[in-house]
Amino acid sequence: MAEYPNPTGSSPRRPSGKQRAARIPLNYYKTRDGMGRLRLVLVALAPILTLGWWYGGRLLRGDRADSRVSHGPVWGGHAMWEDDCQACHTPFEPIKSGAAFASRGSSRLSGSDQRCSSCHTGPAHHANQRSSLTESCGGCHRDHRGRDADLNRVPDHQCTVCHSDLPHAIQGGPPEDGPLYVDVASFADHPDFGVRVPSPDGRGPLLGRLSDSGDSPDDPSNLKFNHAMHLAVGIDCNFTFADLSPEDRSRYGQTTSTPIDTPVRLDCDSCHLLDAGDRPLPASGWTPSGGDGAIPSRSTGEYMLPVSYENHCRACHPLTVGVPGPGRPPLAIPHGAQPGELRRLLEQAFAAELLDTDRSRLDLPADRPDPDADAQVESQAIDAIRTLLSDADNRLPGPDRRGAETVGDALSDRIRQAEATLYLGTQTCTECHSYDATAGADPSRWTVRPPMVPEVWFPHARFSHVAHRAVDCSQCHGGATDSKVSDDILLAPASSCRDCHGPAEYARGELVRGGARSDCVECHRYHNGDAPLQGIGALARQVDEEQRRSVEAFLRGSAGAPLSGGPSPPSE
Amino acid sequence: MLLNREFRAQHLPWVVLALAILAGLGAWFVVERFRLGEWPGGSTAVGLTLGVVGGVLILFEFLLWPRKKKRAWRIGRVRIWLAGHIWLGLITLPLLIFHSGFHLGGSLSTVLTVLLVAVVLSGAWGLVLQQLLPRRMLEEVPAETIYSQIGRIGRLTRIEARRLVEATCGPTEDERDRFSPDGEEGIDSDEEEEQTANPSYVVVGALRTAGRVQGTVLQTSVPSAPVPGSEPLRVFFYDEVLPYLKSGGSSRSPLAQRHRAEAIFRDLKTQLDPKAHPTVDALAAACDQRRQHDHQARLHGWLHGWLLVHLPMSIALVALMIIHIYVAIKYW
Repeated sequence: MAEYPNPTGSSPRRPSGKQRAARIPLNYYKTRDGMGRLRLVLVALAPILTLGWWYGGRLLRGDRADSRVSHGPVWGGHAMWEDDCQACHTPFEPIKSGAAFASRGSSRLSGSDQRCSSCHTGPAHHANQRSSLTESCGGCHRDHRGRDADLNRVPDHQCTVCHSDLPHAIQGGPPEDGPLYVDVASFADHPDFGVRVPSPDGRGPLLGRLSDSGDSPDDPSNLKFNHAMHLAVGIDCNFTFADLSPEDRSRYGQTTSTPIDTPVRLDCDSCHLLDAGDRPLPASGWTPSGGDGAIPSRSTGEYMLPVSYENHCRACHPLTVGVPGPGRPPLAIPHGAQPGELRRLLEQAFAAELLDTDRSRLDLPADRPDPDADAQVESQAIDAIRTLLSDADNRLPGPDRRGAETVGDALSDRIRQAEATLYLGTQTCTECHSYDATAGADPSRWTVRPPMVPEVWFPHARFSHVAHRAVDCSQCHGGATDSKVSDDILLAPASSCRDCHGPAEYARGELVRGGARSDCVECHRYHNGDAPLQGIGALARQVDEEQRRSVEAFLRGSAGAPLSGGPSPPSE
Repeated sequence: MLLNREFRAQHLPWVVLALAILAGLGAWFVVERFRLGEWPGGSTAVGLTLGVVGGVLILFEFLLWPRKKKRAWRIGRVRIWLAGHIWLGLITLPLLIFHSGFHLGGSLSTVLTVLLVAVVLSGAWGLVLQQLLPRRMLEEVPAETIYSQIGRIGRLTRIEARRLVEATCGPTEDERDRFSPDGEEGIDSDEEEEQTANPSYVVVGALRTAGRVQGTVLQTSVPSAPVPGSEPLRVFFYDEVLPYLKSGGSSRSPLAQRHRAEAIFRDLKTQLDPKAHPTVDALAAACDQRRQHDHQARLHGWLHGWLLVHLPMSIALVALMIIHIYVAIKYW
């Protein structure tokens, strides 16, 4: 800017310093400009709004407003207590014993655990586990991870905190004659799968381990079965549909266009079924096995339904012994009877046959009102047969009765023949069973070795067949078509699992191995882990009547007393 | 705060400290990630440590406010505090995101996260603006004055400009009544400002250079005797200059644009006696000062506007953080 010349020609005058200073008042900083005033208003509003939001919510909703501090939505099953923190939490007490400055085991069965146990119970993992390493409920089953989060998907470190150093995780150290202790930090360190003697609790003696070297233990099931022969066309004996009863033919693959003389060809599904409805019922009807008749009409699909004689063998292997005489049908032998029971059955059947009569002709009272009538009839029948066998004067009817053999001789002879068929032949009992014959040569004193086919081969793990349905059976049960000896255990070693379950490995950009999950809980459970068919919380399914609560009390989330059968704290 | 001044002395120690905290806790966090197989949450040892360190840093950041209010306290220079505020404040965001385990969580933690991000980003934005705008203001606003006094300076300039015009054109009785200090139209000055305004000078800011020294000086113009034929100047002043000096750019005056203003004033001079030209130049200088003050106000808005976000949200963050600490311990 140019200097202003004086219009009158006089020289410019400059203001004094006092005049210049007076243009800016000395207290200018005490007054706020517009932006400063706005900032002051916002600064004043900030705590008012934030504290108002917080305490306003508490005024309106009380403690339920505390749900605003939630880490995130709770699991769907707990959603009704989304706003009720104290349904699970005990104030000022860590719900996770793994939390900072809260040592493991400190909150085991604390207030929070008690609240969990009011609905969920499960046995401790091991009775001798060190309590200082034992997590609280919330330590493993961490909630607030979304409605669909899997609370049972426990991270590996919860397991490896003990299993990476098992000797130090057990009170008093490992027993000298205890099982093999293996330090497992990941699935790559997992020991070979063990095969145990089948037992109800899954803790039978260890027979051996399935290794890649092929040095596997023998099948403990006490049954003889040739997989190779049964999977061959015509079952290696030119067995055709004509040899089956008409009712059973469709079960084994005959269609309306299949010639009757077509050889039968069995496959895995012929005997190993995931679901009772997978195949048409056998001619004799589906028979629950396992002794308790507890097989559901539709199973979960995790495990194969048990193979039973009635459902899977009888169609090709009817249990019969011949009865002399024209037009007489063979005698059906019940499956499951011991030789002593079969002896009595054969005696009754053949005695009646020889006498050309039945039990009603043995001069025994009938229709007794006595509840023990059947047992008494049975007892008297046996006594009568014993008399026949010992009485030399009782001879078979005929024209030369004097020279005929006695009834007892004939009866003994027929029983001997029948038992020879049953126990020494290859078509009936001995086809599959073996015997304990230590009591002598009399077969009636033998004992059929009990079949011990495990319902679940690896009772400390779980495996879902239906989840693996897309994989060919032979991938895990290789060698079935070639196995000719019953001792073969047609189960895969752990290495075959690692083909899919493990870190992904690529070759030239293509997945060649791994990729599927391989965390501990993929196969193992913590609570009730040795009862794979029961599941977690099995002990809590039957709740005492007095421990059940109303819907209102349930929705309130009021923590009740732990259910019976709940976890007990391991004592150090 | 310019980062290129005394960076080594003022900032480097804070940068090293901040990076050491971030690297140490970050490494611990990553190690725990691989040990646990998942990102550690806030209740784990590393998560809680991250939360405690982050919370302490937030409180330290917050203390800059009272520190600025109490400049006389001998607790370290404000510039040192500000350097710590910048570098430690920047690492609170990653530390507390680690603390969260990369989860937003419920409404409280979500609000806290949003506030933290807003505070840190607004602070970073303010830091960037502080590197750019002061230099730009120094270059583009030679008439810079104290922001809060722009209005007052403007009013004084209007009073002085009117007096200069009256001196040049000769006041009329009507105008004396019309523009008296009590009811002066277009000049909402108070009595003190009327007295402060120099009765003999027009004072405007102007850039002057003396060797390597550059700065703003005051320019004074002595009122002259009435110049004959200067009525167009009076009309132009009251119709164009005075509204612009009062309302600035919002008046939509062509004087708000430098080139148009120069053309207008050149045209005005052709209509006036050369004796009135200094007055025209003075009015042009007053308009230029007004343009600069408008520009200064805009730059000031950018330079300090981020505090409208940064400060209130910092207060809200601290308030909710205290609540978060309490309830986190309650529902540990």
